[in-house]
Amino acid sequence: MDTLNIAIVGHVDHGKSTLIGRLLLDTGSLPESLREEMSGSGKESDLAFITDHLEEERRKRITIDTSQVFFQGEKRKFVIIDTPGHKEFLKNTITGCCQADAAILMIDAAEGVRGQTRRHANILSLMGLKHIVVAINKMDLVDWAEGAFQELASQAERLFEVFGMGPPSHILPISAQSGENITRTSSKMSWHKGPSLLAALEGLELTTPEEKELRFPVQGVFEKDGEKIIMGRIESGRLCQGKQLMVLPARKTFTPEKIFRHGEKERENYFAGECVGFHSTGAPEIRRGDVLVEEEMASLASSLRATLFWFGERPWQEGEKFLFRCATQEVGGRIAEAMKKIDPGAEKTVTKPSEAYKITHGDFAEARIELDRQAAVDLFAHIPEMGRFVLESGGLPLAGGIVTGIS
Amino acid sequence: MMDHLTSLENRSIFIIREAYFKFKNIALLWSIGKDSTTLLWLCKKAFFGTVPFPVIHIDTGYKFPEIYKFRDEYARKWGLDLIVASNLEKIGQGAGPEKSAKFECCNLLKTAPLKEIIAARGIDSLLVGIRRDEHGIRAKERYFSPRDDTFRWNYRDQPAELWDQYKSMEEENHFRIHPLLHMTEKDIWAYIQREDIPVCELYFSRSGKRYRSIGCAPCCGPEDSQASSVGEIIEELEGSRTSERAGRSQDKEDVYTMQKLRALGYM
Repeated sequence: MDTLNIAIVGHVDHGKSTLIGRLLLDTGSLPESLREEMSGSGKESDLAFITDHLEEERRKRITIDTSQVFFQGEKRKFVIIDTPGHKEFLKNTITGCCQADAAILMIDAAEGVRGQTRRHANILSLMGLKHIVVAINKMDLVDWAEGAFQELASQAERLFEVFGMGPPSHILPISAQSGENITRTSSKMSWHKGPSLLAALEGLELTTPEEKELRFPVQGVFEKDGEKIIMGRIESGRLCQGKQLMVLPARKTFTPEKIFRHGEKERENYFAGECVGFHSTGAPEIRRGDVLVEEEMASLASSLRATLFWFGERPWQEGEKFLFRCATQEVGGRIAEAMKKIDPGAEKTVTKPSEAYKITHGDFAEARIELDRQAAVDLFAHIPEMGRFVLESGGLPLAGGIVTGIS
Repeated sequence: MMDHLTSLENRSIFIIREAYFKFKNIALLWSIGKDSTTLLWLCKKAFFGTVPFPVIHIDTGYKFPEIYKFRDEYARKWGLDLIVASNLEKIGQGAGPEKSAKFECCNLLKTAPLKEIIAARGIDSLLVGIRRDEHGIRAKERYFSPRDDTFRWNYRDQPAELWDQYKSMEEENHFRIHPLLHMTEKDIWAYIQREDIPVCELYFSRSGKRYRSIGCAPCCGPEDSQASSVGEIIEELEGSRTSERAGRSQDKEDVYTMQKLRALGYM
């Protein structure tokens, strides 16, 4: 049985937390204590209480921070990631989305596509999430009407087209509050021929990504019994015993003596996602932040093009220095040029060229980044793990970015 | 494709190693419960059989005798650098769960000695085995969670965490590192079974009852259970609808006790 990590996103009050409560309740996954707690506070019908657990969240009836709940369906296990809809909590929404394989984009049937619907759709697209289910919620407010649903469904389709995303996996009419078309199809909307939301989620097919070239960012060097062990996680490709590697950015080559994991029999190959180690005997000096590859690659760069999304509370200050963090690499850098600013929450997303240098909370930007020294990066479209980065200042991440060009 | 438990294990090991290499003075908080024992096991795996930092046990003086026995046995077997910290002064003055509210007792006997040992040892990062599915408040946590001098958890304004990039040390007093956040109670038991990790005997049924969550004896209640092996516990959990911490009295005092305790530096 596989596990699907799924983020629920969408505009404020379009029903994200309520949907999670409903899914838990109708699949019989709600623990007794929460049920008691809800009835204790006279909130039997307040489904949002399950993930909105902070006192402030319950008092103000909003979601402030992302949260996760777990339940088991018939075919797979689910990790449901709740996210806040308010723009001011964007960094929490992004934190949640980063941990997802798929997402549900909630749209209120009465309100339609709003600012955060657009922003969240754009974030999901930028992060490379392939499986997005659009849930048109609160269908009771439009009398369960097929016409209203079709109108909203085409709005959603247009939204995906504008952002250059593939079409959504499903667009489904639901009511989270009353439980229509959540775990089974609804008699109130017999015109809907598609699956219920749960059936759609159970049916999403996760594809194993194609194997790419080896990228092994070094986490650190650990000394045990007087011997040095190089440690890291394979981000892509495979690490094979006896094969020559190159250390970047130094471009020195060596062959690791023996690659291993503690408590396991040695294997010929280790794959993406595995944390491994090897002795440094015969290796050139290797440090945290070095990247091991199989052959010299063209993508050792100190200048790159990227799409940024700015979630820092303060705006970008032209010329300011950042710490560019990509896998375990940390390199000083700056935004050398801002080509375009995009406000994904606005109807007309691309702003005037004169606005490009005013990057602030919630904005996207196309920019050129200059690094103080060369770093090993890949195009996000090629190896996502090495093509995404964070810009940090004063210890705080202020922006995320994906690499769209290397020069 | 990597199986579920292996993928969880790799994620935890990655986080443990990130913390080890990003900070100067790391320690592990060992409650002797199944989660922090699993965390200890993962640290051993991450560092090829050793735990290269101190392991702290906060002793309230109210723990079950089985907990002390397990602690001493495995601290020796695994060669741990064990530090036992407790608020001897308050325990001497008779502080305890009968004398005061649970909130106050947890604060005095757990959070206070933790503060002291962190200051005394200059610890800048503390590995803690909390999980998201244990409690709605813990579900809001970050992998790297900053704490200031007052130990306050600023849950209103947590740093973004994306793509395994965690907040760096600046002005903070220390960071709480939570490598098990993504594991559920069932995952933990399945992993304990796969790895054959020893756990305290209180988890197994004796005379029809077992503890599902362990801590201080006066504040933990056992539940009805026949499960006397890890396999039977896993089977039992499949059909269970009660929550893991149903036997823990500090959760029951007030809906927000956990939030208040954690805001002040509790685990």
